[in-house]
Amino acid sequence: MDVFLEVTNLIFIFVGLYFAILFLFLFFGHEKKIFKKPRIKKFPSVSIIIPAYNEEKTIAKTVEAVKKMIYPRKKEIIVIDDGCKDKTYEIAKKIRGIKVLRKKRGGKASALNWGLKKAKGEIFVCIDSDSYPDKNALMNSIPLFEKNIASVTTTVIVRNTQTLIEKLQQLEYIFIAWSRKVLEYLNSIYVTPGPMSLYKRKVLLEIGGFDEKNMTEDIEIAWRLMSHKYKIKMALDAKVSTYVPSNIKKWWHQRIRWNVGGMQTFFKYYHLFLSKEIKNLGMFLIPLFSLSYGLSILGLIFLFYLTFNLSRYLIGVYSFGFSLIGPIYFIPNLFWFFGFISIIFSLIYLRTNIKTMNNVTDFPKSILHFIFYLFVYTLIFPFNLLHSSIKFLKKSYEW
Amino acid sequence: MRDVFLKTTILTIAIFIAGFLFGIYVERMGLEDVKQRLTEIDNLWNDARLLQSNIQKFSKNITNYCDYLLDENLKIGDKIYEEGIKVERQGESNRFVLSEFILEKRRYALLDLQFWVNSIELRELCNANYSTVIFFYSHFDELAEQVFQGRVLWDLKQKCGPNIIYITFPMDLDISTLNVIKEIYNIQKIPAILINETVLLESPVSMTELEKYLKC
Repeated sequence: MDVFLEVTNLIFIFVGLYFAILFLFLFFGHEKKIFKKPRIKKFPSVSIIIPAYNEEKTIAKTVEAVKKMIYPRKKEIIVIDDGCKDKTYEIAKKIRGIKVLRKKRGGKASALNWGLKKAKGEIFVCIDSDSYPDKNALMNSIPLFEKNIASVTTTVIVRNTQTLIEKLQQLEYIFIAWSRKVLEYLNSIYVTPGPMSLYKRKVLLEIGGFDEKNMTEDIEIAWRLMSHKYKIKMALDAKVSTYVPSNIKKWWHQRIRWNVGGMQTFFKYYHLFLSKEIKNLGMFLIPLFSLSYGLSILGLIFLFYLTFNLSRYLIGVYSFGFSLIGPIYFIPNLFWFFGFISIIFSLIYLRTNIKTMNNVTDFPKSILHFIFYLFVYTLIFPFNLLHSSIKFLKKSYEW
Repeated sequence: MRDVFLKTTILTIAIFIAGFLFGIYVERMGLEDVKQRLTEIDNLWNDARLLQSNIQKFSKNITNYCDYLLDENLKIGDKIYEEGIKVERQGESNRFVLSEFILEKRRYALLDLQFWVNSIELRELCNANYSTVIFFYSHFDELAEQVFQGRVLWDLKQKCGPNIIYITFPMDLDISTLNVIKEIYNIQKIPAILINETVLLESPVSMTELEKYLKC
């Protein structure tokens, strides 16, 4: 193996191992209180905002699920028609006990800001119009709003799990939920996901609402809250199910939007890099995102290099006419040790994840999906990131 | 929170140090293994060489023993070839004990040299019909062309078996005999292949082309 491959391998192993150990330390340090919630004396009033754009197929069911959520106080439910061209408004209007407001098309963030002005509740709950909160979602998340907690996120689970890409996203969303819970212990939850997130309305107003220019207002708002020294919590047992892209084309487009939004946010707050005042952003998240971007690009170079070597080898097989597989001898070296350690830590990591998340949702049982997720699905990300970076640099992105 | 980062850093670095120590340990073991294997070949070789010289000295007609001597030579050849691949692989996987390994590789090359000379002598003495295929390569610059050529020759050996004596020589390990051979055969560029001490071919050479010069 040549030096480039070996050094790259060692970097990946070191970083992977570091974060696996960090996350395991954080998890096991808080394992017993992972589902615990403080007792609440007085439940705050809530306003639930559902921004919708051309969601005639899903809006009624979403509102039904929202209405079914258990809460000891009356819920203010507002559907915001963000310039729909279909029958979303008419369908929503027929549902009793909710407000339906209409505005000119301005994007999701603009609809949320509109709702922020109209809402009266102390807690501002944002729910995507194609997402379905569990009946206990509010009861499991509201108690986490202690002093200085500005937002609470929920576990997003995948509703459509028929195709392979949907099944892979199902796994991914479960891993993300677990990781977000662990990141809570570092005050570093970097996104308050669109399907369902809760905010203190007063705080949102104080920091100026959602950024309408950002492609991912849910990432930007989380970073802004942190930059104002607010904390975000994760209610692992507050669930919301959502529809995910059902084919690779839609998936690709969605991830480009996420990445571009992430980059917009990253550069907006880059001035806080290594800031000791806002430690979670300055000393952890911004360096972490820089590192993961760098590693993704390095991973891409690694993949290209491997592909180049493999194709050169295949050309060699073809032009020289030698057999595809040569003499095989296994001679142990330091990479055997690192390989073994990496497998052990990956299994512990996976086991911990599965054990925790089995209390929240059904884990897909197919080993094949796990293997495909680890060795194929994750390999697509650097390519998507590269495409996103080009779009970001060219400023050729839209919703 | 600082505590968790500190613990993580210490544990990760500890695992890495353990990995490197493990690497050094297994390489040392591998090196010892190579040393032992080469000593075994050395003994086998000395035994065979002694046998040949004794037969030459005491027998009136050495050709009566040709089958036996050729058979012995072939066995040693196969052994050297087998071990040679293992030594190569060990060398490829080594990261820490490089200079010591080069010493062993030189020792191996010298054994190969003796074996080559002996194979030429025996062929003439016993009128044997095997071919010698000598591959000159670089130990330090592992060019793709060299790897590919090595694979072609490996395939050739698998195909031809005892009909060819296949020997490889690293030309940049500063072995004086090899430097002289380089001059004798006017080897300008490596990798190169010498067939039956008469035909020098510069890589790349395909299997079909090689077979033109050999009785496989």
